[in-house]
Amino acid sequence: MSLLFSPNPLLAEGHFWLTLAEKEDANVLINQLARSANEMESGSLAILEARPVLISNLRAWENLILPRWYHHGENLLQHDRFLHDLLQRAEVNEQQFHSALERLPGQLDLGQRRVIALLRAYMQEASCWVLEEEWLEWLLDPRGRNPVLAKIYQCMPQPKSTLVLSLKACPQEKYQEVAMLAQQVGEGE
Amino acid sequence: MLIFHHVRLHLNVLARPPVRRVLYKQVYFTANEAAWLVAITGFALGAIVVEQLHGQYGQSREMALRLLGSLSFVELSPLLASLMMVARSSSAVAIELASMRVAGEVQELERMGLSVTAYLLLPRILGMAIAAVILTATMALASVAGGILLASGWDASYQILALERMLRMQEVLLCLAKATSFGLFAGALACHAGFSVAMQPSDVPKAASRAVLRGLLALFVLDLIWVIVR
Repeated sequence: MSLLFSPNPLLAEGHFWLTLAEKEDANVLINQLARSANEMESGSLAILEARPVLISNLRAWENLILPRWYHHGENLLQHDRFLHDLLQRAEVNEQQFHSALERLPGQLDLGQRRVIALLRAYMQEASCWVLEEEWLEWLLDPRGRNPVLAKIYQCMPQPKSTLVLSLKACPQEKYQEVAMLAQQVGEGE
Repeated sequence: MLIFHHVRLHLNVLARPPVRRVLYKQVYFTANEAAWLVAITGFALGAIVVEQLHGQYGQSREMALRLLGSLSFVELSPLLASLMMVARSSSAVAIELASMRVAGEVQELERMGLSVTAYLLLPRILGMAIAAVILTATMALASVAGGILLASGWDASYQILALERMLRMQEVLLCLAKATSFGLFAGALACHAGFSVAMQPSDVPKAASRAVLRGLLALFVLDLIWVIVR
C-alpha cells in the first residue's frame, strides 16, 4: 500500500495532525512514513508510540544511542556528551538517572520507557517526529506526566515537523490537518 | 562478480560500530563461553582415539599420533565442535530473533533506518563462522594434546616439539575451511529459523527446534559434500 500525504509532514515544516479511522491504521501509516523518510535520509523519522518498543537485549543507554551511533558513527564519548548537555540543561540528577540507563527494557516501567524513547528521538536528531495521541495527552497532563520527562521535553530543541496520529478531530488552532491523497495497492502489504 | 559485489556491499556495514559490537558479542557468547567445554571434550577425544588405535588396533604410538592428527583436524574436530556449537548457540540465536520479531523490535529497527540484514543477520552469521573456527581449532589442538599426553606421558614435550610430523599444513587449512563453512551454514539456518516463524509468542520455541535440527542436518550433508569434493 502506498500513501500520499498533503501537506507531507516529511517535507513541510510545522505541527500536523492526521485523524485515523481506526487505531490499527497507525501501524501501517507509521511504516509507510518511516519507509519514505528513510529513503530521503536514513533515520530522519522518530516515532513516539504509546507503548515504545525498545530492543530487549540492549540496555536502556544502548537503546537510546543506537540509531545515532548507527547512522552517525563517531565515538561513544561524543554521544555521551551530547546527552549529558541535554540532561544538564534540564537539571536532571544524572546519578539517579544513570541507574535507569543501566537497566534492560524489561526492568523499566512505561514512564521510564517513554523517557528513553523521547531521548532516543532527541539523540537521533530526526527532522520529523510522529506522535501517537497518548503521548500528547501524557505530555499535556501535569498530573500524569513524568517530572523528569517534562523537564527534558522543555529543554529539547523541537524537530522541523511533528505529526500527531489521533482518532479525534484536528484542533485547528494548533495543528494543520493532513489529508491522505491516494492509496494504491501494489507492494503486497 | 555480482555476488562478490553484493557480499562486499554487506561487509562494508562492519565499518559501523554498532554492527561490530553485535559481531563481537556473538563471537563472545558462541566461542568464548563454550571454549572450555570444547577443549575438555577434545582432550578426552584425543586420548580415546590414541588409546583405541594403540591398544585395540595395534598401531605404534607414533603412528597412532599421526592418525590422530589427520583424523582430528580433517574430520572429527570440525564436525564435533560445530555440532556442539549448533546444539548450544543455534537455538539461542533463533529464539532471540524470533522473540525480537514477535515483539515488534525488528520492525522498530527498520523504522529507525537500521538495515536488518546489516545489523541483525550479518554479524550473527559471521560471528557463528568465526566462533566455529575458534572452537574447531580449540578442539583440534586439545585432542592432539590429549593424544600426546596419553601416548607419551612425561615425554610429551618431545612430541610437542615434533608436532609438524603429525600435522600437515593442507590438513590444517582444510580443517579451518570446513569449520568456516559449517559456521556460515549453521548461522544462516539459525537466522532463517528465527525469521520464519509466525508472529505469535507460542511459535518462538518452534524456531529453536528448527534451528537445531536443520543445523545438525546441514552439518552432516556439508561434511558429506566436503568428503566428495576433496
